[in-house]
Amino acid sequence: MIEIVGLGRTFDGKAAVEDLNLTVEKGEVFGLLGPNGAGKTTTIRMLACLIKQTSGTAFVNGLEINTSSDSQKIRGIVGVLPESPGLYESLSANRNLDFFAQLYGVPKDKREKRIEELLKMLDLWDRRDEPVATYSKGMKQKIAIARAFVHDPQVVFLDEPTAGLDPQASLTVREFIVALKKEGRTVFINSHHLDEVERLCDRIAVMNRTALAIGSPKDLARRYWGRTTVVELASLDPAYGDVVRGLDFASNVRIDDGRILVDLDDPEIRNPVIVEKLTRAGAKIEYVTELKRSLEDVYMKLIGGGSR
Amino acid sequence: MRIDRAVIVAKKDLSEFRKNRYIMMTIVMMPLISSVILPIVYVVPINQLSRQSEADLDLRFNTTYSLENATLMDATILDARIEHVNITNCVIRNSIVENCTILNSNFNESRIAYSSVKNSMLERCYLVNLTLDVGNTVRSSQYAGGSHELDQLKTLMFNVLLILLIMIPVTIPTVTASYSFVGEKVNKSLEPLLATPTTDLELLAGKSGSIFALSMGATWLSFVVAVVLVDVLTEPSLGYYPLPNTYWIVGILLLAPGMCLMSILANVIISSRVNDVRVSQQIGGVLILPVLLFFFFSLAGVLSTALLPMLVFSLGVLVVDAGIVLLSLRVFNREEILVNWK
Repeated sequence: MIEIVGLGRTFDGKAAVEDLNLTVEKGEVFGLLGPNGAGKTTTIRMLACLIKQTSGTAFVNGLEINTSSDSQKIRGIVGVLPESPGLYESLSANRNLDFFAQLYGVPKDKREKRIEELLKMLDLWDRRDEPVATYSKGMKQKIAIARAFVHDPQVVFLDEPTAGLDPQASLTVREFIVALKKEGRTVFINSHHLDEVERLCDRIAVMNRTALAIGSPKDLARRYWGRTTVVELASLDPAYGDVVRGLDFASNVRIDDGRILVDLDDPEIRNPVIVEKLTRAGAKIEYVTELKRSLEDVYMKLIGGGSR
Repeated sequence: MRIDRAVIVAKKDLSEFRKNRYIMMTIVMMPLISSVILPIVYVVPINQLSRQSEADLDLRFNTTYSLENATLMDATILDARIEHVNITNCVIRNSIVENCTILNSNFNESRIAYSSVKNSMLERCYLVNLTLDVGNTVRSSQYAGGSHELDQLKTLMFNVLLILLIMIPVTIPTVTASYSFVGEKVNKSLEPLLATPTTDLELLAGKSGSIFALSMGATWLSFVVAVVLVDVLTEPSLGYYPLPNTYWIVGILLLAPGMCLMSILANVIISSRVNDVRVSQQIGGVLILPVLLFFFFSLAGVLSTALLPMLVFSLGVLVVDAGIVLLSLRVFNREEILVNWK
């Protein structure tokens, strides 16, 4: 659905995005993570044909970005949620959405139905005729999200969709995105909210001008941290650590807080061997689990050391 | 370009204007002052001028001799009837003067009719259908029929009123365009708009079109009100309906739209450099200067209030507009707005 090939953009000779390569499949929720100034917003703007790239290219639904023949078509099939809601404060939610639906060429009967559907999904139907100026920040953000979907786009670019929202509003937005994913839409999210990205996205890219890593949150954790098995024992004897160290497939064996941690390439095969050896040595095993690495760990490993 | 998309943008902007108290106040107050209050204030001196010319005179003519088809120079003539005579540097009193050419002369208590008078002093005279130029001094006299000098003054006053009316299409866009362009920029609502399939030209046309329609609607309505008001109030003293004259028609059909377009597009360019609606309005206010200059030049007599200067000025404004259109098209595009607008 989205194919980015060597995409780059410079501002006054300074690269904001350089040699970005990635592919987003149809129906996928894809997250773009990175620090401020990493080029996430610039990437979305280029993909939505708002600004031109200085190198490389990209295709959205087979259409090439920023070409005279395809730009307008791309803008017609994508929805964009910018960093700021940017609503017309003196107009009602209904009028705001109706205006954009008209610009996207949605027929009147479909327009009304779609607006009603979106406002109901986002719990804003009852206040549809009130001026947006009277809305809370969360409500405004929800209207801005509804605006991005008002023309039933195939691809949606969301820049920080839950920024500044309270937990309940964030949950509504997340549920909304999940519902849209089920409808088969491609969603491209820029976010700093690692937990949210981890929960919502099928795959992510950590970027800092270019993509530093691409994959599912789980894959990235494994790729950058390896797989670690944790063995919790009823009582820890230092000799048990030596038992594990004696196994040729075990690496980086350490004892931490009464547990034995060991890095393994294929824990599904090696874990039973470790359990057998420890049991024979007289250890009383309570749990054998895999150490969970969060996306934050991956992010910090990639960005922390590689930041500009 | 798809007109329907531009119309959608224009309608949205008009909806926003309707809800903005400040814009609505400007749209109502500016035409009200220009088309109702100013014309009423104007009618007072015009009617006063006409009334002055109707003052009663008690002239007595004791014509004891007559002069016809002659040339008079450096003479003093009393109690005569003078016809078809060239009069230069003369003093004439208590006489009837008809069909003469008069230069550098002094008339007292005489009846001067159907003559051309230049650089002369006319005191306590009865003046009928004269051709008078600005070099004459006329005191305590009564006009009957045409008075070129007085007509010139009245025309000047009417035409200056027109120039004040043309401030409406300059001032309203200064306010509305500031909200429409800088307001959207500050509110960050331009980016979602730019993300739609609407082209840059459609957006610019829609946004400018709403302001143009609003400003010119108010201007033309003010024009009609002012014309009707001036005509109704001055007809009893003038004896005719003075407006609209060709000067007004050219002004309202050429100069007003030209100035309106200039004001709108200048605001597009200003919007790319400022982030405050009030700053934009203040800079946009500078556009009133050409109109004010035209007004002062006309008032000072540097420019006549004839049709030609108005036509030339109007066409000049339209030429400048063409340049500003090109400049604003260069400024108002997605890349510029998102990357270079401050």
